[in-house]
Amino acid sequence: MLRFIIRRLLVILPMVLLVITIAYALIKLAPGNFYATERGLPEAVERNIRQKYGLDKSWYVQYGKTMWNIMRGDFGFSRKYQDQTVNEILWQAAPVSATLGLTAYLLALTLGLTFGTLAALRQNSALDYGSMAAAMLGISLPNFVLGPLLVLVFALTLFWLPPARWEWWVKIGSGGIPNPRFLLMPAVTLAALYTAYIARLTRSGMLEVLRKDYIRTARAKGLSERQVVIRHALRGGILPVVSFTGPALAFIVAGTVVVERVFAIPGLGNYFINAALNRDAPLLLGITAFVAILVLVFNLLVDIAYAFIDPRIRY
Amino acid sequence: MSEENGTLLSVRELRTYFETEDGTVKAVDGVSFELKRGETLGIVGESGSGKSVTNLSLLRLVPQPPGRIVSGEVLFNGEDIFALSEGEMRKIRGKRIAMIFQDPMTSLNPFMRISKQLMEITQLHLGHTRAQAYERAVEMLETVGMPDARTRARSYPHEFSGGMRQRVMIAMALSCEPELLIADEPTTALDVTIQAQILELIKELKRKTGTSVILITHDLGVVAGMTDHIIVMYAGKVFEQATTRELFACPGNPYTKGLLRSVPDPSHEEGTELYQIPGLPPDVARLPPGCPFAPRCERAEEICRREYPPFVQLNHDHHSLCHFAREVYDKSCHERESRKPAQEFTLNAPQSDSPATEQNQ
Repeated sequence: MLRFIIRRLLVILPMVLLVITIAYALIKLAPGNFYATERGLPEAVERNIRQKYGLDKSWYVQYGKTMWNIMRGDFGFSRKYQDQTVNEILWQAAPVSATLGLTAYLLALTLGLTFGTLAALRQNSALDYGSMAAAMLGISLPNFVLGPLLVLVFALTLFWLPPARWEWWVKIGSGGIPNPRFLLMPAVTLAALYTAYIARLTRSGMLEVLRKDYIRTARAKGLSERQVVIRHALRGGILPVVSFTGPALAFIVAGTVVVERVFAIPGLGNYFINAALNRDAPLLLGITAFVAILVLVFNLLVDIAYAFIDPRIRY
Repeated sequence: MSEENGTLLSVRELRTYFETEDGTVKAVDGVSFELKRGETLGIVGESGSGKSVTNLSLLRLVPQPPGRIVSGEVLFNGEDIFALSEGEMRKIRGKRIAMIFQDPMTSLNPFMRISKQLMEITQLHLGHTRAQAYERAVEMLETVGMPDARTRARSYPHEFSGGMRQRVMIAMALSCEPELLIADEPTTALDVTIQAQILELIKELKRKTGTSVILITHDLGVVAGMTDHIIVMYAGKVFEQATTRELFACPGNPYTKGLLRSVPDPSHEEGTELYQIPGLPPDVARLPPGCPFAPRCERAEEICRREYPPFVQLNHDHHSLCHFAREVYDKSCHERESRKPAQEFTLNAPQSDSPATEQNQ
């Protein structure tokens, strides 16, 4: 097990470098640059800028220098926010995205597992059809529709909640405890899709497990239906949700472009979009690397969790 | 409560149907039998003959829907099982009637340690504390011949062989000292050598505890050495019912005779083919009006296809569902007398010398 974890951790570094290389190539291949304006720059100014940022060098020198710095953990200064390093921006934005993402995912897990399990236990009942129809709606309703709808109702009509932005209630370092009034709507918007997925995965997983022989054994022991489900069925039934959680959690914690945009939240997703529009290469690479690491680490955590849930799995 | 050696279980006209897209499947259709305290009853039949559903109905474990217990009465110790509340029923399941299933590979929870699965049942029914339950679990594992029970109790099911898992199932089933043990094809999924050991174990534990046993199987060789009574089921109906000795000696039903002829016999002449009953079991959703076995029966005549056969009493304790029950019975008895004793059908169940010699993979 320990050897497995170490081996997987060792793979992370080359994987991240590969991802960064691909992202680097795509940025270079994309048309446009960070200094271009609509009116165009005098040739001398452009030459100075290119020289300042080392863009006049050959591509492999540029690439080598960038990678060397990244391996030392230095992504450099943002091209757009010139007084901030990429690391500073990540430090500011990551806690916001992580707080929002974790809240949303916990909400999605709670609701999804509850309704998925209930739907499986009462298969073909009104509850089953009702929650699966709601899940279908959750999957098909894009969050750029759901978000503004919530804003329209709860902010602009009822005036219960602020329509956008983010506030720390208690600040600790660059993170803290969020103000729930600002957190609520984006978290619900973000959770909708994941709740729907988790509910459907739970339902099908539970339905499969409830047909197993060992569930019949548990019933024949005289356990109540509740004990049968909680002690015997749930563990196998949620395995699909566990494998879904790895990548899902990584992406949700790394910031979601649309929801952060809709609610004007200063998270990684918002920075990522701005960086792409501005051709802000260092910031793009920084966020890409961060997301890549998160995905790899969360997948590793899921594999470890698997071994704890299912004793048949050994690494 | 009935007195010692009284009737433990009485099943009357049990009917369990399944609603499917193809219509109503009459999986169990009017089954009646009695089981006395301390006795062993064998229920024999091909796949789909309703033997498992009969027993799941006794514990009210038939999945509903699509299953439905349509009618009938099950008296356990004089108590009407179908009149009990779900809570009262749960106090019977596992405690007073325990069950062992066909496939030990899938009947244990793969996510749970053996010890925990065993402890669960005594904690539930006997109110054991964790420590008591653990001791009881180890004790039961030793009883069923698990070597090194104390350490192996911590294992997970996948760390055991099929035979060992079935021992665990038996340990679990017997840990509350049930009055009735239902073993649903307990050896079908196991190797032949292990089969013998498991049967021997059930026999031995039955002798020790005095538990009544219902043994469900499709293998007449299995029931021969173990049971007092046998019920032969076909298409959800009881075709023949007799004491084991009587059934093997003078079968009164062509179906039973067919089954007996299809058991491999070691003294069988070499080179001759093993008998098999022609055709397949019928679709119980669409039974013909006559005898359900008629299309496959050697003895069938016009009346068999037209009229449903009567349940004929042949002897004090011997019934057969056949238009020609009496003739078949007389013929069987006659054949038996004309045979030399040495060629008589061997009543030996597979024997084993040492039940604990089985090794784990």
